[in-house]
Amino acid sequence: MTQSERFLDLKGLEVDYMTLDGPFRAVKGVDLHINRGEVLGLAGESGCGKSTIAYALMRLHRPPAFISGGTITIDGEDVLSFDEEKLAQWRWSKVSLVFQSAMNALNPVLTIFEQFRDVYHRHTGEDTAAARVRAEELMDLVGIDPARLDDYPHQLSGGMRQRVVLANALILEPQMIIMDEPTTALDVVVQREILQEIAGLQKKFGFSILFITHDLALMSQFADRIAIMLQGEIVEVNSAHEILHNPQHDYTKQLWDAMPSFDDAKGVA
Amino acid sequence: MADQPYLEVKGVSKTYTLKTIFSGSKQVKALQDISFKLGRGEALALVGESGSGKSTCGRAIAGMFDIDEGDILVNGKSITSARNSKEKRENAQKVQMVFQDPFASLNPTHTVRHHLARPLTLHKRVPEGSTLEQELVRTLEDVELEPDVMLDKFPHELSGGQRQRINLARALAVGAELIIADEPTSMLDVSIRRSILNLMNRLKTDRGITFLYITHDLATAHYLTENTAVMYGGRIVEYGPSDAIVRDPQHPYSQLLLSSVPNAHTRINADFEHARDFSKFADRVRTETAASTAGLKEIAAGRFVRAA
Ligand SMILES: Nc1ncnc2c1ncn2[C@@H]1O[C@H](COP(=O)(O)OP(=O)(O)O)[C@@H](O)[C@H]1O
Ligand SMILES: Nc1ncnc2c1ncn2[C@@H]1O[C@H](COP(=O)(O)OP(=O)(O)O)[C@@H](O)[C@H]1O
Ligand SMILES: [Mg+2]
Ligand SMILES: [Mg+2]
Repeated sequence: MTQSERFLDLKGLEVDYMTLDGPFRAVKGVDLHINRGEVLGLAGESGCGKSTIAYALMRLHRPPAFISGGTITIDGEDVLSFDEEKLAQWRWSKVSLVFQSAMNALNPVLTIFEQFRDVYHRHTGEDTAAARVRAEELMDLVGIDPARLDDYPHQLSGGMRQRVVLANALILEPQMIIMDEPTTALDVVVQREILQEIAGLQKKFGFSILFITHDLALMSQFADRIAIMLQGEIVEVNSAHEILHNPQHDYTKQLWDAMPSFDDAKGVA
Repeated sequence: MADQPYLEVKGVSKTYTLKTIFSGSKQVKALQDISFKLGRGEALALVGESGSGKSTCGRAIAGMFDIDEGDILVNGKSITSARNSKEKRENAQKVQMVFQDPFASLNPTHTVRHHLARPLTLHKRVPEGSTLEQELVRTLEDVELEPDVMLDKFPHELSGGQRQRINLARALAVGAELIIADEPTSMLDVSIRRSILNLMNRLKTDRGITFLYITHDLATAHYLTENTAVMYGGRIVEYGPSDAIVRDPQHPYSQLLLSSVPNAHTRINADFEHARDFSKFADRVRTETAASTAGLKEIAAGRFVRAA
């Protein structure tokens, strides 16, 4: 595999949180890569450090969080060397982030279009009419009637809000989208709809995805490769097929064993 | 009466009137003619997507508001006719709810000890010959938590799964006979859900607790429950033994629910058009299910389906 096929390359990433008891290392020397057009799943239980990695990749950490070691290379560039100006221009356009519970973080006093226009305008300098055209295109793309652009977030269902968040992440046609538990708060049917939507968009546009979830079954339906994280470390990385059929690490096996499944007899211990 | 059900819900309806800014008011039929029975020490799952009326049904049984039509009997006695405050208090004690967000229902400034000691004392649940301390230990052991470690912890020091165990412990401390568990695992990691379901199952078999288990995940229903009622738009669209419904759902909406449960062994079809087709299909099932006013029909012993 040539270096240029790697869209993202993480080496020895360390992230600390300063706490009253001293520094707490939430990410302990993580190596990870994502190829162009690849869907990499990052799975692990709450608190293992998944969101901390997502924030580090976007350089979104603020004190008390510090990236204290390692390198992040994205599309050949050293992300840790970027200044604020470069970062502001780089985020959304190269890599965008759908963060955990983003659908509840839409600004309640702005219409869907107004929020959309703000991002579009800030990055492209284009006017409202151009933003409208792009917004309608994207609404179509994620399966929402463009007339809903003038609605406020509370007028949309949870599934529709999540589609809006996806559309926002696509505004500038990024080459990678980081999705931090994009379906966790949704009903099963809506979750499935959003997952289909993400898979469909990924196939159509070919961007890379870092897909974060605690649901290994969901992840296996969609990811090309899966990394299993435990207490700040990656304990196993393999193809989705191998993670499912031939898990190597005890923790991966434990995760599978702990999942509810249809096959079990009632109330097995 | 030996075969008197512990809980009987008879033709219950509830309509909310919402005042909207633009068009005056809007009626939401949150429950429409809901009926089912639940035997002591048994469990029933109410399954459906959000807005289908599950929580309204649970809260109605917990007596948290007045229903418009129908009746709810707990232990053969109507909760709506509980006139004096003593009867109401007794009902409130026997029927306890456990909610989705394990954090919201615990007071961050109080220890586990306080959360459990209060109901034990308030409801005089310390029997003669025992002490409050012994009862605290026993209650924590019932939910499989280590008393020594747990009693003096604050909610923020606990994991999500531990908090949900404390919520169950509190229901036991109050003296619950029926626990209405409203999506108790949906905010927890998948890997913790099963252990909470197993715990509820043990409370059911060992302690004879009756459960109404509310969820949007049809797959977990059969862990705990004998019967499942699938709800949509305030109505039951399918009812029957949980195993049978998971194995062979009859109503299109139940089928949709089941087919949406993540299954590690099925790769999802990433074709862009397919994504759209799935959503259209889901919407069509929802619309048709909402439109049908047909009644429930018994298709086999104990299995009921509403015509689509
Ligand atoms: N602002 C913070 N201050 C201190 N510790 C934090 C902070 N944010 C997260 N952590 C800790 O870092 C670890 C990883 O958290 P997180 O990345 O959010 O995990 P995940 O996304 O896998 O649930 C956890 O132990 C969490 O408690
Ligand atoms: N207090 C309330 N006031 C007005 N409408 C309500 C109220 N509670 C629930 N509803 C409406 O009743 C319907 C059923 O809600 P709910 O029982 O919460 O469903 P579920 O628990 O299945 O998500 C929804 O349309 C909801 O908006
Ligand atoms: Mg997280
Ligand atoms: Mg609810």
